[in-house]
Amino acid sequence: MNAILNGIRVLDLTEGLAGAYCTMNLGDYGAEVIKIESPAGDCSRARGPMKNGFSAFFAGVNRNKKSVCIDYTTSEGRATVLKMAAKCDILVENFAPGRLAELGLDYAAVKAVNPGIIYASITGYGQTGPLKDHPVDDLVITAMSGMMDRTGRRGEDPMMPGVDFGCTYSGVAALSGIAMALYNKAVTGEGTRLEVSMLDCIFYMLELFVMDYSINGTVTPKNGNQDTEVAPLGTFSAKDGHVAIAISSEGQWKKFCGLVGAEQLADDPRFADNAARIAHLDELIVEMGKITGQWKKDELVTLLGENKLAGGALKSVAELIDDPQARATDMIVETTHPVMGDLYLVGSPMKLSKTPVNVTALPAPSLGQHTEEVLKELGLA
Amino acid sequence: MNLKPLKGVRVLDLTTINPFTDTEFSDYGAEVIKVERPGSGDSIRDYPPFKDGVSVYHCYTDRGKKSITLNLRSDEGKEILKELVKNADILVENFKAGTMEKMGLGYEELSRINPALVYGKLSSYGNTGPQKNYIAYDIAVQAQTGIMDATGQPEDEPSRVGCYVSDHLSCTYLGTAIVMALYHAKKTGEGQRVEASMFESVFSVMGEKIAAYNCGKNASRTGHLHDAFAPYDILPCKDGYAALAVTTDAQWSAFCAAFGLENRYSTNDERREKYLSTLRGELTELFSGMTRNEIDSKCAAAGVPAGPVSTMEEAINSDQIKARCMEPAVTDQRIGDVLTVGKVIHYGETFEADSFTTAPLLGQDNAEIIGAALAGQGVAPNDMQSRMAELVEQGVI
Repeated sequence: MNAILNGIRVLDLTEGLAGAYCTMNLGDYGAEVIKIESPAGDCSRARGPMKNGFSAFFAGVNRNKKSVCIDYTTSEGRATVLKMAAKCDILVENFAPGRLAELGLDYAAVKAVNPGIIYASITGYGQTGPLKDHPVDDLVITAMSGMMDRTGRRGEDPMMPGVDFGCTYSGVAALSGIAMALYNKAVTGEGTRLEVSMLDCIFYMLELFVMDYSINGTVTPKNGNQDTEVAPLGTFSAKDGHVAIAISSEGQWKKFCGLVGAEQLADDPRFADNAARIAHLDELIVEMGKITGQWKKDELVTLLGENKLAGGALKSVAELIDDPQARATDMIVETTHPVMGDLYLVGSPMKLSKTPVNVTALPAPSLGQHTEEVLKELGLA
Repeated sequence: MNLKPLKGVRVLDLTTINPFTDTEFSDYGAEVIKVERPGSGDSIRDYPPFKDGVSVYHCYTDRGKKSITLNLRSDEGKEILKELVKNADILVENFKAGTMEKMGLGYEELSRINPALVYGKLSSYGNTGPQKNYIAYDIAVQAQTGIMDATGQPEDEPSRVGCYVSDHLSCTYLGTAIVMALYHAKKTGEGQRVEASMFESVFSVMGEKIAAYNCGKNASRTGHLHDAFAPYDILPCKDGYAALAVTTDAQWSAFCAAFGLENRYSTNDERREKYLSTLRGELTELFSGMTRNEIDSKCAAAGVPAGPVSTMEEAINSDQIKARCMEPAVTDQRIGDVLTVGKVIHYGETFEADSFTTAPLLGQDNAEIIGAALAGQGVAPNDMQSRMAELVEQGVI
C-alpha cells in the first residue's frame, strides 16, 4: 500500500459529473472517498444506458468511492453529515451557490467543527458574478463560453463538442486546487476553501482568442478542421476514414511530399511556402485528398509517426477499445463489477513511477452500500 | 486572503512551447525558473500573436517566471543545471523521449543529486506503446482519442473542437500529478518521476462514451443532441441560437408552463422519441419570434438551464467573464498591458482579483540564479564577474 492519499478521508457532497470526476481521481490516489447520497440517490444512477440495471456512466466516474445514504434535508441528517465533516480532511461539493449555507453545511459551519478542512466547491458559473444563480448545464455553459462558436465549419452553425469539457476540466481543476491545498497544509498546517467554475474553465481553454481579440479587436472566424494560420494542418480523407495531419514547417512539408511520393506538390508554386498554401487552401485540400485517399489511415499515420511528422487516425469508440496505444498506456482497463459484470473503465493519465494510482481498488457502490460500515468507523453509529 | 499555495516551491522549467503546467505553477505562487537556450531562447518567444514584435502568447504563458540561459549540451551547462537541481523541488521537461537521458540529465542521475526531486515529464503519447516516439499535435490527438468522432452532425464529417484541449488537459493533469508527488515528497522525503501525455489526457475525458460502449452502444456524434435527454439542443431564434438543456421531467413541466405550451410529452422517453419528428420543429417555431435574451430570462426564471450561444467576441465581453476576472491584464515590461486569461482556482473565503507580473527577458535572472549556482560550485565572489563573462563567451549561458 503505497498510495499517496492513503489515510486521507474525503466527504463527497457532489452529484452529476463534475464533482464526481474530481473525487474519482482522489479515490484513484488512495483517499477514502465517502459519497453522501440522499435517499433518491445521485441523479447519475438513473442515466442510461444501463447494464444489468446499473448505470455504466455512474459506474465509470464513481469507482473507488463508498456510498453513504443520508437525508441531509432533515435536521438529524444534517447533524450527522456535519459530524462526518469533522472527521474528514477534504470536502468536495457542487451545490448551487448558497444552498449549503441553507443546510448549515457551508465552509463557515464546517470550519467551525474542523478548522483544517480543505473545502472545495465546483459550480457552473462561480460563487460570484451576475450569473451565479443561473441554472446550469454543460451544454449551456459551453454555448456561453464561446467554445461552440469556435467549433464547426466556417459559415455554418455553432457546434457542440462531443464530450463535456465543462464538467471534466472543472473536475480536474478542482483536483489540482485540492492537491495544492494539501501541499500547502503539509507546510503551514492550514486548511482553506477553494472554488472553480465550469464557465471559467472552458473560457480558460480559449486563451488564444482572448489574446487575438485584445491585439486585433477581432477574432479570426472558425474554419472547421482546417487551421487558419498553418497548412496543411487539418483532417483529410483516407481509404477507410479520416486522418489528421499537422505540417508546421517548410522542412516538414518537403519531407511529407517526399514520403508519400508527391514531390510535384513540393515544387508547385501554389504551395511553395506556408503563406502560399494558406492562400490556396481549397486547392491544397483537394490535392492532399488525392494523396491521403490512397492510404489506409493507420498505415499513413505509422509512416508519418516513424518519420517524426504529426498525424493521427480518426477513431470511433469501438476502435478505441482495442487501440494498441490506449491499451499499452492503460487508458482502457478491464475490470468486473459486482452488478454489471465485465466492465471497461477509462484509466488515469497521471503516471507516477513510485506511487501509481489504482483505478480498480473499489467498484462503484450501490446506493447506501457502505452506510453502516462508514458510520461505525467514524463512531457515529 | 489570496492564498498562494505553492509559495516557497522552486521549479526548474525546461519545457519548450508547451508551457501551461509551469504557467499554473507560477500563477499559484511557485518560483518558476525558465531555463532557455542561449541566444534564441524558447521558441514560444516567436509564437503568434504579436504586439510590437513581442509574442503576446509568451507574455501570457511566461508571466511571473524568471529566465536564465543555459546550454544543456555543454559540460559546464550540465554541471550548472545539476547545481540548480540541489535546491529545486520540481523539474519539468517536454523534450523528445530519451533526450534528457542522452544528455546525462535523466531522472536517475538527477535524483542522486536530490532524492526529493519531483521530475515531471510531458509527452505526446505516453512512455510506452507503439506510438511512444511519435510527435503529437492537438488535432491528431483529438482524432485519435475519439473526440472528433463524437463531435459534429451524424450525417456530416467529424469535427474537431476549436481550441487546444489536449494542451490544457495534459498540462493541468501533469501539474496535478507533480503536486501530488510533491506532497508525498514533503511527507516522506521521497521524490519520483511523473508523466502525463496529450493522448492519455484527452482519452481520459471519453468516459461517458466508453460507458455507453459497455452497454453495447457505439456512441458516435449526435450533433447537439444528448444521447440520454431531450430536448437538449441548440435552436435557431431571432438573433442567433439558444441552447436549451432539459434533463428532468420537472424542468420540462416548468418550461411548458413558462412558455404557455401544452405538456404533451411529460416523460424523457416520450420526448426523446418525439424530438426529431415533432418536438424540435415546435420549439424552433416557438423560438423564432424570440431573442436569445428573452429565452434565457424566461428559462432562468423557470429554473430551466438555457442560454445564448455566444460568439467568441460576445463571450469575451460578457459580464460574468469580467466579474470572474478571467481577462486580467499582464503589464509586460516591453509592451505594456496585454489581456490574457485569468486563473480558474480561487482560494479563500472571498473572491479577490488576481494580479500578475511580467514575463522575463531572456536570461534576465542569470546574475542571481546562475551566480548562486556558481557560488555553490565554489566560485569566489571576486571571480564571479569574470567567470560569468567566460561562460557567456563560451556560449554556455
